Parts: sequence; structure tokens; C-alpha cells
Amino acid sequence: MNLRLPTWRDHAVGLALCVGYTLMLAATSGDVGIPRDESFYLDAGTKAAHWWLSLADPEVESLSSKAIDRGFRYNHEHPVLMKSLFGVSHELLVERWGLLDDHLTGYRLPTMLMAGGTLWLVYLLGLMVGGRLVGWIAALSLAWMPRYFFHAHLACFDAPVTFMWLLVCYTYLRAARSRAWALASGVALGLGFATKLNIFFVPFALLLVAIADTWIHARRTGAWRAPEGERGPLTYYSWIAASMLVLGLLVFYAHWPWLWHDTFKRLGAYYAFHARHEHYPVDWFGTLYYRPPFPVHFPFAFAFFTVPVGVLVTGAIGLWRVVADCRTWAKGAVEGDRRGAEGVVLINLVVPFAVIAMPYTPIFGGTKHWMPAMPFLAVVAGVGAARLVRGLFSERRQSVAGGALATLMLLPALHATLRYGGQGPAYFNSIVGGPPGAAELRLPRNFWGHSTASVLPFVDENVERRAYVFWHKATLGAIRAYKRDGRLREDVRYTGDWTAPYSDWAVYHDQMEKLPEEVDVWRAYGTDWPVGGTFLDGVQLMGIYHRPSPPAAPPIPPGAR
Amino acid sequence: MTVKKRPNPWLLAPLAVLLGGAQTMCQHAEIPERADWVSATDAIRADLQPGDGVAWAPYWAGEGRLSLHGLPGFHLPDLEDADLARFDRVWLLGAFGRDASDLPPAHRRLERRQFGRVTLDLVKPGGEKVVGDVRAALERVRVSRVRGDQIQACDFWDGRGWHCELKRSPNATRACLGQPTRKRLSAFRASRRRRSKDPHCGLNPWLHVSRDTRVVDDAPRRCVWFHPVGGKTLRLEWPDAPAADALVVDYGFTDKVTHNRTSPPRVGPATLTASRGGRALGRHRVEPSQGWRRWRVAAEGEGPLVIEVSAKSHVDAHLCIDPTLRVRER
Repeated sequence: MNLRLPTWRDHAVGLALCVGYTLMLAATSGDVGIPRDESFYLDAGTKAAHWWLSLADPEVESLSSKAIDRGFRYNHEHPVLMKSLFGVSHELLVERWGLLDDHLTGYRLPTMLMAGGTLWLVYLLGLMVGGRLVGWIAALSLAWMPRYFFHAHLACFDAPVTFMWLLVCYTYLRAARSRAWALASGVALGLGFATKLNIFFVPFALLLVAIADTWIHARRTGAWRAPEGERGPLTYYSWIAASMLVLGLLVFYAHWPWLWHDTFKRLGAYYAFHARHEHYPVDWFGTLYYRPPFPVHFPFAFAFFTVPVGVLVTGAIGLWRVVADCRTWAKGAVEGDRRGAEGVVLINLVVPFAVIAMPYTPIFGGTKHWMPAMPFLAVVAGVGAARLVRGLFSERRQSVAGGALATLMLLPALHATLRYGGQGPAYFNSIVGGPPGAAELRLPRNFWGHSTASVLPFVDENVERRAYVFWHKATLGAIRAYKRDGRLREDVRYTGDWTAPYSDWAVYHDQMEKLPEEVDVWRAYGTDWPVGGTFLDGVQLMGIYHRPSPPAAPPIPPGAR
Repeated sequence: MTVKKRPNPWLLAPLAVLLGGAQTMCQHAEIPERADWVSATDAIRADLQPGDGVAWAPYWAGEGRLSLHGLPGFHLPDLEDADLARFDRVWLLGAFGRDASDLPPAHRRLERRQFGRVTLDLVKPGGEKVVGDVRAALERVRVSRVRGDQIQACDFWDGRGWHCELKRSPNATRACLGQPTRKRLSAFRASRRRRSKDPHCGLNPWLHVSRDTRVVDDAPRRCVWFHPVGGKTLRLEWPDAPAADALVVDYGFTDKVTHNRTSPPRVGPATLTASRGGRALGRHRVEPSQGWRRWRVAAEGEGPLVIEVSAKSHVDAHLCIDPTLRVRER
């Protein structure tokens, strides 16, 4: 059976999914707070945008090393494709053209569009592997993963790199059958490099598929090369490799003006930063891991607890099918040009997990670090749903009744996305008992200060004028961004890191390794009890504390000075 | 003959999803409303007596803490190991299936009331009883540092504990401590920029003996900060300590120093000694590892209770202790 290539109708469905999801993300942007890293990227994006937009100004020497440093020195440990898009989107849509009035959404729109684009590609990949039903269920499975939904809002790199990873794989699959697509695969890899470092693993994963495909072809035909006048896998993969090596590196270098001066020194610094990344503590089943070795099962178990049950069930069926198809392919028993399609899905499902499962890979941040696997899990779930439908319905009723049943099976995931999506990292499925079950098992429910958004209405309403607030994990940049969008009163102050004793109000982000900082607030304020907070299913995500009015000078005990 | 039609095994998949959905609904049905906690704590306020304590379970059900203002609340991270010896009666707010039946069997439930999805149990603690609590009586103890025959009195009370070193007069220090937030924050910021301002008003932020709460063994512990001083003995003397059968000292180094995330822990061992009326009760080595541990010694007799700590080095010696005097079964 040949791979099914998308028609204009399929692209129309993909586009509808893309637009619908982007609109859904934009409409819910206010529910998702600003994590620490996003607040840095907002600033970096603004600086980068000023540089790019200054290229049109003949009076500015944009290409001087001074101008480049001004635009890109800040946060130079990450490439600038996404930061530039965040900044340019904000600058044009909000500041210059006034098309949007929400600054944060202005920055986030590129991520949202890419998340929408991811659904489009997932639909196409599902269609190629197993047909329209597979594509449809795959797209919904991904869209309704609460944690993916959360990250799909942020002006960060995790949802974009998920898109890029998928784009590289999609173009690779097409390029393995068409020379024109080889160019696209090189450019896609370059854009991936320009997005986030973890794209580095994709070419190696795809190389494995290419080697397997070529070897299977050679075993079946008795020759490595195709007969004269035809093109075989070796030819296609050679073009892809050349394109990825040349165009991939070229796009990466070209997109990042920071590398245009002191290239090797700065490339070395980029590599060194990530090679020696700091470890952050992670609470995992009651053990606070501060440093490696981390448990190998961590990403697998964490995904098992945080992907909706409907996706897990269809995913398990689909995994069985995809593994069986890969075995058929390995035996050389696949007809047509399907070569390796299931292999691409399977290996890209496994690799992001395997990278994090290495005991010395930093594991802070949780599920976002293996998020590039999620589109492939969604496709596998689509394959499983299609198999399930074939098992339950006659051929005549498969498309309508089967499609409806498979969609119904995802409705709990939709409910979970709507209920928990704004606090995505706190979502756990019913297997562990939701957020309360996760709290009971001591699994990590919060990170990076994004929950601040949920307490802003309380702070706005209750704190005194010009109150001194200790914001804990929310950065000054995040607080300024909330104020700029009118979500926090201008007069409310930011006291800074480690300033609980020098504040009148304190906001605490619940995280096991941060518990000593909550206790610092208790000590400073003389009370252990919060006056407000955010509680998800009864579990604290945020606590708000208020220093009681100081009593008259404390009595001096007898004999004391 | 009728052929029995076997159910389609593929039905198991939608059934599994259905089961997951039903499980979620059951889990949601257990979640208390905030009003449930408020009603339960209102009921406690109506019947509160001196000697009562209030706790909630499970410990992570943090929403219950919002209603504890003005009540004698305390932390109970593990119901199964609950030490209720400080209280005559304990009110236990329970949710998510946790309640007084999870307490050790020595404690007896007197009554139970239900407020929505919150259970309120009144418990009569069994076992030994605290008759003297150093943390509660900290204003009445005397603190000093001893090296050979040199004794340095730690007699400045800052409202929370005793300090040995002052850089200003007591009145100036108190005035500084009473400054508004704006001024204290400004002093803190100046100190971070390495200017001369001292946000601690001349008090040593580490070396003192104070009423405190610290995270030890992954849970907050109400305790007395008892940071040893290298080469000296830190002494705490309680002149009018009540008569008791035993001295129980719960202790531990804070998790911050036993689990230093960037380098191996630098904290070393310390030695606790206790005496009563001049008679030695015992000596105990405090290991520099994570844990909230208990040291128990017989403490019959009368006279001042003295607890001392010494260590070779005071680097990261963030020790917190919770000494109580107890009598046997009530």
C-alpha cells in the first residue's frame, strides 16, 4: 500500500484545525501565567525585534558588532528565531499597527500559530500513515492534552520545537520519495536548530530510519542502488543528508546575527552552556532529587500519569499496531512506497523520551522536555483508534459511527484541557487520582512561577496602595508584563528575590523544594496560615500571605536587655 | 443448539475510557468546597477550650489552612506518627478519605461531625503528656555561650528569641527592628549592593536561639533554632522547668544544609547534652544527615533543666530542636 498523500481537501481540514486551535489558544491566553523563562524571552524578543526592524532604517548601522550585541547579547544562550518572532509580532501587531491590544498575546502569537500548525502536520502525518480517521483522531489527541495545551500558549521554545521536530520528520518522509522535498527538509532542520537545541537529536533518529530502509531495500532487491533510470532509498537519503548538512547549518548560522562575529568562540559558549546545564531539584514519589543519577523511568512514568486516559488507551493499541507494521517492514514484506513511515513515527516517539531517560540528563521542567514525542504519540493513538473502529464496526459504518466513537473517547481529555489547561503542569490523569493523587504521591505539580496569574485578581482587590509584595518565583519582567496589560495595579511593588522578611504581602508558588521559602514567610510574618491562594481540586498551587499589623513593641522578658 | 455470541473484546477499550471518566467523577466528588472548611472551623471556634489543638489531613489539602487564623493550629505531616502529647484535645479536619481513624490507636475519637466533604473529629490524645515545652516557654529560659570558664550571656530578646551579639544599644536595635517595611527593604537592598546598611539591625542572623519553624526531613517543624558555635558550648537553661518523667528532644539539621544541591554537605556532627539540677541526664550525637529524630532520656528530679550543644565547626550547623518535658500515660 502506498503512502496516502494529502489533497487540497486534507489541507483545508488541516488549516481549519490550525486556525481553530490558534483561536482557542488566543482566547485562553489570559488564563496562562508567565513562567520565569518566558519573562526573559519577552525582553530578549523586544531587543531582537528592534534590531531586525532597524534593518529597514538606513541611518542605523545594524550590522556593526555593537548593534548586534545590543540586539542579541541578552539571553544569548538560546538561538533567536522564536525570540525574534515573539518580538516582531508584538512590535508590529500591538505597538505599530494596533491590531491587538493585549501585549502578552502579541508576543505569544507565533507559538500559538506553530501549535496550530502542529495540528495541521499531525493531521497530515496521520493521514499518510493510516488515513483521514487516523489524522483526525491524532489531531484531537494532541490538541486535548492539557499539558501540551498549556505550553502551546507560551512565548517559549517548547511548543515551537515540537512543531519543528514534526516539520523535519514530515519533510523527511516526503523527501524520501521526492527530490524537491529534500530542500525543504534541510531548511526545516535549520529552522529547528534556530528554535531549540534538542532538535539536534532528530537527524540521528532519522539516520537510523534511513539506514534501515536502505538495508531492507538492498536485502529485498539484492542491490544497494536502484536499477538504472530509477531512484532508490539511497539516492533520496543522500539528497536529504546533503540538504540537512548544508542548508541546515547555513540557516542556523544565517538566522543568528550573534554568531556573525566571534563565531567559534560564541558557538563554543552556546555548546558549553547546555553541556554543563545546572540541575534543579525534582520531587518524584517522595524523593527530592537534587542531582543525577535520576530514575530512568522518570519520563515514561510521568507521561503515563499526565496524558489523558483516552489517548493512552488508543495509544497502546496503536503502539501494538505500529510495532507490528515496523516488523513487517523489517522483514521486507511491505509493498508500495510505505517504506519506513511507521519507523519514522515509532523512532520519533521513542527518542525524546530516551534522551531524558538518560540518568545524567537534567530533568527539571518535566513533561515539556519530551514534548516533541507527543505529536507522534497522537499519531499512534490515531492508528489505535482506527484499529479499534475496525474491530467494532462493519466497514460501512466505520467512518461515521467509528469516527464518532473515537471522538467521544476523547471528550474526557477535552474536559481535562478546559479544566486544567491554564495550570497545565498541575494536571494529572485519573490513574494517579488527578492533582490530589499527585500530591499524595508527591509528584511535581508546579514550576517556574506561571501560577502568579491566578492570584492577580486577589492581589489587585486586597493589597493596600503601594504595598510591598514578595512575588517569590515571578520575575520582575513578569510583574511588569501583567501591569502593562492592566492585569495588576501599577502601584503594587515588587520587592525582589529573597525578600520575604522585607515585604507586607507574600505570594508563594507551591513546589516541594521551595518549601523552606514558604516557611521563611511564616517566620517573617509570624503566621503559618495563608489569607488566599489558588487551589486546584483542593491542592495548593499558590498561597497568599499577609503580614499581620505589628503589635506594640514585644514585651521584654524579665532579666533581658 | 444456540450459539452463544462472545462479546467483542474491542469493547474493552471504550470501557476503559469510560472507567477513567467515572473514576475522575468519583475523585471530583471527594473535593471539599472552601465553605466546608469554613463551616468546620466555625464549629471548632464555638467549642474551643484551652489546651486544644487543631490540625488538618491530608497535609497537602492546603485549602483548609485558610480558615485556621486565630485557632491553635499545628502541622501534622504524618497522621500515622502523630505526636499529640502537647494537647488535651485535638480537632482534626479531614478530607479525601483521611480522618482520625488514621491516627495511632492510642488516641481516642470523642465525636465526629460532617461539614459537606470535610470531616471534623474531636480526639482525646492518649499516651504521654507534655508538661513543659521549651519552645513555648522560651521567654523564661536563659541562654549563654560558654568557652572554658568564660560565659557570654545571650540576653537580648528580639521578640522571637535570644541574641548574644549587639552592634548597637538595645533600644537602638529595637527601634531598628520596629522600622516600617519600606526602610527595612531599603536596608536589605543596600546590603546586597555591598553598602554598609545592615538589614538585621546589628543582630547576628544565624547565631541566636529563637522560636522557629524549619524544613527538616521534607516537612515544616516547629522548633527552637539552636545553631552551635564552633569551639564553644551553647547553653539553654530553664530555671523553673516543671517536674517530669522524661525529656524528649526532637531534632534535626535543616534540609537546606543536609541536601545542599550544588556541593556535598558541609555540616558536621554536633553533640547535645542535658542535665537537670546539676545531674547529667545524657549525651547524644547529632548526625549531619537528613532526618527529624528523637532523643529521649529520663528526667526525674527537680531543678533547672540545661540543654547544651557543641560542635567543632559552625559551618552550616543549622540545627533545630524541639525539647519537651513529659509525664507517662495520662
